[in-house]
Parts: sequence; C-alpha cells; structure tokens
Amino acid sequence: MSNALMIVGAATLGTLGTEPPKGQSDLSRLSEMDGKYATVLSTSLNAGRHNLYAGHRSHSSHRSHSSHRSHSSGSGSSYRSYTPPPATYTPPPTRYTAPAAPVAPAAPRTTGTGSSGGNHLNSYPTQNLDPATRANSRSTNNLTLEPGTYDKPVTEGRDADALKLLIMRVQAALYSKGYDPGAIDGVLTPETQSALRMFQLAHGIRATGTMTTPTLDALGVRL
Amino acid sequence: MLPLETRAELAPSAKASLLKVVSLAEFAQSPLPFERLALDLRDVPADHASNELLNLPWGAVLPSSELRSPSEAPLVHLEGPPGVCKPGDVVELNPLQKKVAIRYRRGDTGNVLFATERCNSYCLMCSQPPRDVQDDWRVRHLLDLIDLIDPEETSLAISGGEPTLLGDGLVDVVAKCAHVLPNTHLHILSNGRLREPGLHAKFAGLHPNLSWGIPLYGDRYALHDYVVQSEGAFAQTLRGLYALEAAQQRVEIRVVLVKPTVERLAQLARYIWRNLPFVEHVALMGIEPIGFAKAHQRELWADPADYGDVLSEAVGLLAEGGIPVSLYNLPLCALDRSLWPYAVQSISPWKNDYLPACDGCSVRQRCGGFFSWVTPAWTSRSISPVLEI
Repeated sequence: MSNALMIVGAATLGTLGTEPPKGQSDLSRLSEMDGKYATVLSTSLNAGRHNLYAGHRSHSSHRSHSSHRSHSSGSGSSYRSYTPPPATYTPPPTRYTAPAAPVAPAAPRTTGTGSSGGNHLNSYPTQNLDPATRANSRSTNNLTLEPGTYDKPVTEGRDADALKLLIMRVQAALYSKGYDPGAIDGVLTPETQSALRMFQLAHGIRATGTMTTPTLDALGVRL
Repeated sequence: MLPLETRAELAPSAKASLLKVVSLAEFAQSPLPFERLALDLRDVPADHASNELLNLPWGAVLPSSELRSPSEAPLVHLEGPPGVCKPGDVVELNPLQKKVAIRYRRGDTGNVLFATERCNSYCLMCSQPPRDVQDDWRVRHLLDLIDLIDPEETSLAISGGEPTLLGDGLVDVVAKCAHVLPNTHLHILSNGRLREPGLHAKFAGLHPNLSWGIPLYGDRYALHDYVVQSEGAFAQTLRGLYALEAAQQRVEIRVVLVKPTVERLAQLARYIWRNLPFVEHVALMGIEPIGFAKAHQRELWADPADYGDVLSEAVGLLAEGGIPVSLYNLPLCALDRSLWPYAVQSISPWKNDYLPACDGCSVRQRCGGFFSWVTPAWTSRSISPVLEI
C-alpha cells in the first residue's frame, strides 16, 4: 500500500519516456493502468502504523533522558561511534536482541570511522541495508518498533535513538517546507514545537505541537 | 554542458563509495541507510546543521561554505559550479584523486550504466575508444548503483564498450533493474555480435521495458566490416539480431551517418525493411566528433547538406514501410524541412551545446544542437539561424 505514491509517480512519468511514439491503444492502456493506482492515494502515508510518538511533547518528558547522549557536548556522543549499551545506561544484561530486519549483507561498505565501522549498522532499526529488498523497504522502514518486529524488552537506548531520529526527520521536513524548527538536532525544542504548530495550522491539522500521525503524513515523514 | 566530474576536497573519513545525494526533505523520507547517503547541506545555514545531524553515520556531507567542521564528519567540499550535483544524483567519491564523479543525474535524459571498457569491434568513428582491461568489477559496481537510482527514472542506457562482453554479468544487471527499476526503460547499446549462442535468449522476459540499440552500417558485409574494423562482424551482428528477435526482444537499428555508409544509405534502408522487419525503430545518427572519429575525419565526414536527397529517400523508405525512423544529432538547419518531424533532440545534456550562429535562430528550442566538442571541420556549411518558420 505504501508504495502507492511511488508507483503512481512512476506510471505518470512513464508516459513521458524517451521511447519511440506509442499508438493510441498503448495510451489508453497506460491511462487504464493509471486509473488502477489512482484510488490508492486515499490511503495515507502512515496508515495502519502505530505512532508511539504522537504524544511526545518535549525532550524533558522522555523517561530515558540519560540515553539521549550528546546534547551536552559533542564528544563521544556521535552515532558514528555508537555502541549499543551507552555508558550511562545499563541494559538488561541478557536480553539484547538485534533488529529482525536483515542488516548484514551490505556491510562491506563501511563508511564509518575506524573500528566502530561495522557496529553502527546494527544501531539503526530504521535503515534496511539489504539492497535486494530496497524496493519493498518503504513498507519495512520501521521506526515504530512494532510489536513482533522486535523482542519485547527493547532497550531504552534504541527507543530513544529512534525517537531522536524521528524528531530530526520531522525537523528536516519542516525546514524544507519553509518552517523554521531551529537547529536540526533531534530535540523537540520550543522552536520545533512552534514550527509544528504553524505547520499544523496551515494544513488544517489539530495544532498540538506534537508529532501526530496526520502531521507526519502531511510532512511526508515515514514512521 | 554540465561536467560529470568535479574536483573536491574530501575529509579523511569520506571513503571511496557510491552515494545518493539527499536534501533535508529527502532525508525525512529516504528508506536508504545513512551509509549510502550524502547529505546536501550546501544551502542550509550552519546554525541549523547540528552536531547531532552531522554525526549520523552519513556516507558524506556536502557542507555549506560557512560550516565549521567537526573532526569526524565525512565532509566533501565540491569545487566547480554548484549545479554539477544536486539532490537525487548519485555520486562516486574518489579520495585518491580528490574527485567526485556524478554516476546518475536526476532528471537527465542521458543517464548511462557504463558496463565495460572492452569491445570486440573497433569502429572508425568510435566515440568511446575501447581499452582491453579486466573490468568485470563493474558488474558489482552497477548493481550497487542501481539501488540508488530513482525508481521513477524513465530511461537508462546500458553502454560501454560492448555490454554483452559481460556475459551473464549483463543478465544480472538487467535482472537487478527488473527488480528495483521495473518501470524504467532500459536501452542496451550493443554491437549485437553473437558470440555466446545462448546469451541473447537469457533476456527473454527478463525486464518489462527493455530494448536494444544495434548498429548496422551497410547492406554488404564488406562495408559493415570495414566501418567497424572487424572481419566477420556483419555476419555475427545479423545472427545476433535474429537471436534477439527469437528472444522477443525489442530492437532498434542505429546507423551512424559516416561517409561510406551514407553512400549506400538507401540500399541499407531497403535491406533493413526487407530483412529485419521486426525492428521497432531506426535511428539515423550524425557523427559524434570525438574519440577515433577525430583521427578519421577525412574518411568519415559527410556534410548533411550533401546527402539530403539520400537521407530523404532512406527516411521515406522506412517510414512508408512502417518502420518508425528518427534523425539524431543533426541540427534542423542542416535538414530539409520535410525531415524536421523526424529530428530528435538526442544529445545528452551534459555534452550538448549550441553555436554562436544559433543565437538568432527561431527553432533553437526544437533543435538538438551540437556535441560540445564540435569543430568547424565537423560543422555543416548549411548552419545558419532559421529566421522564420
């Protein structure tokens, strides 16, 4: 379902291809194909996904403050050098589970720094590294930590990173749409909240200043 | 003309890799892993680019000029015009040579998957002279690249060198496109010469929108073999054409209008119509004056002003015979107006330019113009602005 936008785009563009001119029958076949996809647009971007973050109001309200490494100072806090158990957080000792999504195959392309190059690959549940599944990966691009995808005791650190990443995506989308969220830093600052509110007002969405699902849909941010 | 490569200053953490350039807006949506993305912050004020953002495991970050650099981020400062690369493009970082190459340009009509530098022909007018190097690594490289191309891309050429020399590697590349880019029209530019008897059959049903561009330079083996400088090529190419037809492939015939071929162009058109009725398109193409062509200017150059009659005859034969025909790389003012409907803007934007004479021309917008490397020796004497339509 969530591939719909992509497919409609492709089908429309397809008619402008550089191929030799097509006959009338081809054109009507194309418009028939278009018609098939057109209705799918009524399904919104994040339909059916559970938005854990809809109620997230500000940075301080998040329980695991300590695992938001890196607002204080830059050093040692980069995602680049991320290792799953952050220093300030003690994970449940036995139950750490790697993401279910396939991550290993593309690993040779390590662009990270030094020894931690391979590690950070595992730290991003949002990113599907397997090229072969990319075409479908929009639907598996999973920030929501849906039940079933991950074992129950999801570590707080992972959850916090996912939240921070979502906020960054929202800030990036706000910025690119002309609303100023302040620095794109993954923190739901008053500036970001007010940008969210402005955006929501302009789009007829209830102005909560939070990342509700309709807001994410309108921003084009995938959960 | 927009170059496909630019010098760049690369931070030590920016490794050799293929990366998709993304704007902030696309970062919000992209399903690709950070390692395969180059974040474009060139237009983003430095105070918005937090360390949090920069320290995500990007493949590269294209910073704005005022951005102070945190030590770890794989910053890549591009030199040259800012338009050389933009969000949606795919770039290849080359830290050793301090260069960044654009391997895919969003919105460009001339994107190419470059298959190999090798070729088994040695055409007099080859614009991309082959080199005998072992470059099977390109298969792996292309499979990587295909992941990063917009799924909405309308068309890609697979070119070289001779792509079929990759053998099953080419089959893999097309199969990957079928999986990731099923809506993209693929056009394989091959000399069509059948060497492995089973190869062409493997493309049957492989990709929903695949076609082949195969050159034919004469209605006689001696003529074709001379132009491609390779004995037996005519026979092999014809076998290849029939093998493609047997595999239900769509075939375009490409004829470069070099002097020896122009001399028998009408006969060639008739030959195609009689013997290759299944071809879906014939492209009659002006010469690209680069590569080997420059060394053979006297043998090759024919002024369209001199072969207008035979060109009209060939176009008429094919068009009336039901085979769609187009004229590539020929400026409108060098063509009789009856041929204008067949002329196509065919030159890839990155190597397309116009001459000073074009400034006052009323049909410049419709005209394909010239290759950027055109010189007076390769310019028709009939070039002049068309003042009224």
